[in-house]
Formats: sequence, structure tokens, C-alpha cells
Amino acid sequence: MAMNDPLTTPDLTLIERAKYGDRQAFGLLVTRYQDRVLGVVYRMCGDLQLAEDATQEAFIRAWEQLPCYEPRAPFQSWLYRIAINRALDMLRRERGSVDIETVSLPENSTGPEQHAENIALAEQVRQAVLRLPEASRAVIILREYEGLTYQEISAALDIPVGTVMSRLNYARTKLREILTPWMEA
Amino acid sequence: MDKHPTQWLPAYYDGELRGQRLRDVTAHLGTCDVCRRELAQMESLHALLQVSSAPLASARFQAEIGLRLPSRRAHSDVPRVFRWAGWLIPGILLGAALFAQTVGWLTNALLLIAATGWGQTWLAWLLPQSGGGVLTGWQSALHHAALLFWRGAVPAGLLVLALFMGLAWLIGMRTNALQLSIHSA
Repeated sequence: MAMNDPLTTPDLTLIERAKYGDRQAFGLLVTRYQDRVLGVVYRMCGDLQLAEDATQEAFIRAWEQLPCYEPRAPFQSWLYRIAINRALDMLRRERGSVDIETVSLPENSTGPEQHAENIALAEQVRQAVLRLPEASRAVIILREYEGLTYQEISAALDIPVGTVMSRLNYARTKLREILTPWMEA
Repeated sequence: MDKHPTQWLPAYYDGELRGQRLRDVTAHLGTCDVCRRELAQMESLHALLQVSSAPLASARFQAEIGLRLPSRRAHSDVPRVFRWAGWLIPGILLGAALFAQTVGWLTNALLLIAATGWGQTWLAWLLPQSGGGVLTGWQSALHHAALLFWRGAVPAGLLVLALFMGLAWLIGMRTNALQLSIHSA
């Protein structure tokens, strides 16, 4: 099905076409959202291979479930919801969820000595996020990295806005505890 | 606001507060160093979290999704309640034919029983009365109608059945053609 300008075609138009089996339209949706979804899933599970597999599975599931999608919820939130659920499923199946007590952080003093400072710091942050419980981790990732509003996070994770706020507060408090040595005063 | 609005500071930082609460927290921040430091901590945490970047999807990523997408039946925008409307007319015709045929058979059976003289007591009201009752004309009309039903029911039934099968065949052909066009797209 031909489209005038694929880059500017609205999501809803692509979604409607994809609902009718238009693979090209769905391909454009994948192009638009693949990096963001992969980013969220990667931050959730901390393993690139697992994240790519989970993201692909999430897009395939989205394709299958697209006829049931109602535009009342933002497509992005709907997609994140599928992706996060898929990531958590795969994470549990593959190796169990990451336990906050079992992930060890490298010493602050050794990192910069062995690696470039920014790479070491990025790794510290990534590990710190992974140490959060899954529920809080998903909320902080969607807020801090994806910039979703509380309402959008609520829709993506199917939890009340109040729960979003409490999990976000918990995650920030916990991250500040973990990352205190690297935070500016 | 004398107490520190600790629970609302994250929502304030995220731009989620509205109305009076926003004004209260803003006013409080104007006078409270503790809460301003808290807000600065959130900003520091946000900045620190951004140093951890997520990977981008590889070039083969989307191609692999495209290969793994399963075939999907065409989605119909027609509400589910109307999807059966196509079967309504043949269904009504078939029902009407069955009803007419059943009435014809029953009428003929009753008349046959009455004509043989068996069951005269309970079918007396159906038989012609001496001197011509009010039922005579009605019974005669019913008899003729029954004969017409009997003679016409079989060809009518066959006709309705043929019509029904023809419609079903057409609908099936249309659906197959639609699926074929989608899969070959």
C-alpha cells in the first residue's frame, strides 16, 4: 500500500493499515519505535542479546494483537507494556530476576583507573538501575529515560497513578543511596 | 505551607503538579533551603542517569522482525454483532421454509387422521359439520393450503438450500481472495 510520505504519516494511519495486514506500515512503526523499545527492554534486563530477543518478540506480539488495540491509550504506552511484560517473562525464564542484594557494584576508586571514566560511570549507573526491584525499575526507566508522564506510565504498566508516584519515589531514593558516591553534592 | 511537602516534590520536579498544590509547593520552595536541596538532588540524579546510554537497534534487527511476522487474517472494522448479518437473510429464508414445511406436514397429518375416522372425538372440531359449520370453509382453505405446502415445500426447500449454499460459497470466495491479496502484498 503506497504512502505519500512515510516519515510524516501519523501513527494512527499506520496502525489502521497494519491492522489490515499491511506489513510495510507496521515496518514503519517498528522503525519509529525500535530504538526506544530496545532501550527500555535493555535497561530492564541488562543483557543486549536478551533485550533484542525480547524486543523482537514484543513487536511480533504487537503485530498479532494490533487488531485489538484501541487508540484510547497512546500506542507508545501500549507497546512499552507489551515489551516490558515480554522482557520480564524472558528474564524470569532465562535466569530469574535480578536480586538487588546479589548485584555487586565495582568500587568507585577502581573504575576510573581501569576504564575511561565515562564508561565506568555509565556501567555503575546501569548496574544501579538493575538493582532496583522490577516494578520500580520499570517506572524509573519510563520516567527518567523515556520521559513518559505519570498518566502514560500508568497506562503502560496498568497501575494507578498513585502507585506510579510511590514506586518512582522509592526508585529515586534507592538510586540516590546506591549512587551517592557519584552524585554531585 | 509549613511542613516540607516531601511527598509532592518528585511530582513537582516531574511537572505533574497542578492548581493549588503547585502554587503551595512553589511558594514553599521560595523559602525552604531543605526542599530546594532535595530538588537539586533529583536534578543531579537525573543528570547522572543520562550518562548510561542504551544500544540502538542493529540494521538486521528490523529485517529479522519482518521475517518472523506471522500471517494474520484480515481485520474487519465491522462490529462483531454485524459480522453475522451476512448469514441473516439465508437463515431467515431457511427458517421460514422449515416452518412452512412443518406446518404443511402437521396439517396434512391431522387431516389424514381425521379423514380415516380415527380420533374423531378430539378432531371433531376440524371435520365438516352437517349443515355446514363455520369451520367448513376454514377447513377447506386449510386443506388447500396444506396441499400447496406439501407440493411446494420440497422444491422451495431445495431452492432455499441452493440459495444458502450459493451465498456461503460467495462469502468464502471473497474471504479467500482478501487473504490472498494481503499475504501477497
